[in-house]
Amino acid sequence: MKEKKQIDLIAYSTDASMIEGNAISIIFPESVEKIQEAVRNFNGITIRGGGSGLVGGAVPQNCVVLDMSKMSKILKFDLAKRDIEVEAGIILDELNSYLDKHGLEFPVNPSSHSICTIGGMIATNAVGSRAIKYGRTSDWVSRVWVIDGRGEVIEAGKTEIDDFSGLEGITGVIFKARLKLIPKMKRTASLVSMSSLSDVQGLVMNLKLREDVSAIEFFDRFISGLLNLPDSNHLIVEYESEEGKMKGEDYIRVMNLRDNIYPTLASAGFTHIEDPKILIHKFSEFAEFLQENKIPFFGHVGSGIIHPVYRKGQESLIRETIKLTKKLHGQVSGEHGIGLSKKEFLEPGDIKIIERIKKRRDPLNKLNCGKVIDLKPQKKEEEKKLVDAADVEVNDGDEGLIDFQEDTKQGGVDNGNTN
Amino acid sequence: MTTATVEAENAKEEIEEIVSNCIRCGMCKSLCPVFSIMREETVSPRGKAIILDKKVYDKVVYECSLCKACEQKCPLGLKLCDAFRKARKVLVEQGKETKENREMIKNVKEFGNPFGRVSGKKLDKLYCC
Repeated sequence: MKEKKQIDLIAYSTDASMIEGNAISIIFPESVEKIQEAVRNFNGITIRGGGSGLVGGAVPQNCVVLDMSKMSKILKFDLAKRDIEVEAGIILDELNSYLDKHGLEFPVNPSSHSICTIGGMIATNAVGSRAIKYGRTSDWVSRVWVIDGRGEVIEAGKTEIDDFSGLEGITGVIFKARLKLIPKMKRTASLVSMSSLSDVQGLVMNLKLREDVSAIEFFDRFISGLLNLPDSNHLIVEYESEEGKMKGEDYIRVMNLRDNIYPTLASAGFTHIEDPKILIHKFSEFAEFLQENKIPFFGHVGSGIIHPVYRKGQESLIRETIKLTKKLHGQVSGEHGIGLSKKEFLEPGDIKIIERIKKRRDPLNKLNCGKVIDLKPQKKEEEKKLVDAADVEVNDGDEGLIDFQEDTKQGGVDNGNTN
Repeated sequence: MTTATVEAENAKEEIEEIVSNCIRCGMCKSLCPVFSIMREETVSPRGKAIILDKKVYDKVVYECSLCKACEQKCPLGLKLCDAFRKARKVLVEQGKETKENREMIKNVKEFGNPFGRVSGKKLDKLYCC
């Protein structure tokens, strides 16, 4: 294993959420045995893929970071069956680049496709722009291989995948997956300007009825201005047919535009992003609230996921938005997950379900502790066992241990995932 | 203060101006040739920007080909390679550059080329750090 270096600890202290944490050691496993060794020897482990998450899922809180990036091999590929087995650290674009040569692709497409890993996508059950046609990542995963909190290898088929997919690494370290693939689609897109929000809603409802529409992306007037587009709301409609006006390079350009929306907003000072999911027939009501409060917003409107963005100090507006989401019977988190930053918004029902799975798969609360849920402190004798075990890479005894007491103080019992 | 020290202090300010604007999105990683081989956050442009943002000047800035691919991908168009090049200047001033870099500077001064084997025209002034 790689030695602990101060600069590594700095580089791994944060992720795309910009939340600051503290890593005590970094491990780069290249085999299943190394992951098992890490899980058995350390108490608090933060699992990291591409570090593209926006809720602090990969931010360590006095934990050892397990960076899965080096486990990125393609292990088995069956062209006839259209399935592939890969290690968890493979990046989505790397996978699709390999599949492209065989006329296939993995259809789920989050905007971080150039850096996100398959393991991270499964752990967060990533959605992306094509959810209206292809659903979520778990719909395309037929099997996962996981190291649970005891350090045991679990092979999870379709019925058990839900114990890991969407649970953000709190129940196991995903190290391998078998994925289902589709033939590579030829896609085109159209950019549509619309001034009225209710017209947007009507058009989206109609477009969703078409089989060749694979994505409907929205961005408002303010964002259009930032992207040097005319002063209007815009929709990017992606077709899996020749229907779209933008083809070839133009298609790639307009899709890149969509990928860069959040980074562009963040650079303009809107560094906090939310991801409520609402029913499409409630879109205009929700959008009018955002517009009235001058909150820029964009999102995968086809699947109901909207991304309002906020400046620092706009916490009361965030709360108002969440309140409205709940009032409209929407979900607080449609795709980013819970991580560190959304624990307080979980519903009690979700909390109970996730707590039960967590206790079954990771009873000592070693994995991604402090994320999604906060468990009660371990019993003294269990803590002692963990202290004895955590002595491999970390120099100073207590450094390798999670402060369960502190975790509990911060959040109380809270958990879940609304994905 | 020597001219070199002043230049290093200016470089620090210029580096700060660049890296403090990084929003940590990580898009720069997707085109970085060093990250694609090493697959460690520390050597990625984002990782180096985070390290420099903490005002830590480390030899990791030499783990960069200065190809500017990250700048192409950065949604903010941050001049990250410029920051890494300037950080090398700071390290040289602090005497913390890599052994290889020190050797290269010595060879350029002595032989007029970085390899030190073939004698060339000796330069009056060294422009490269």
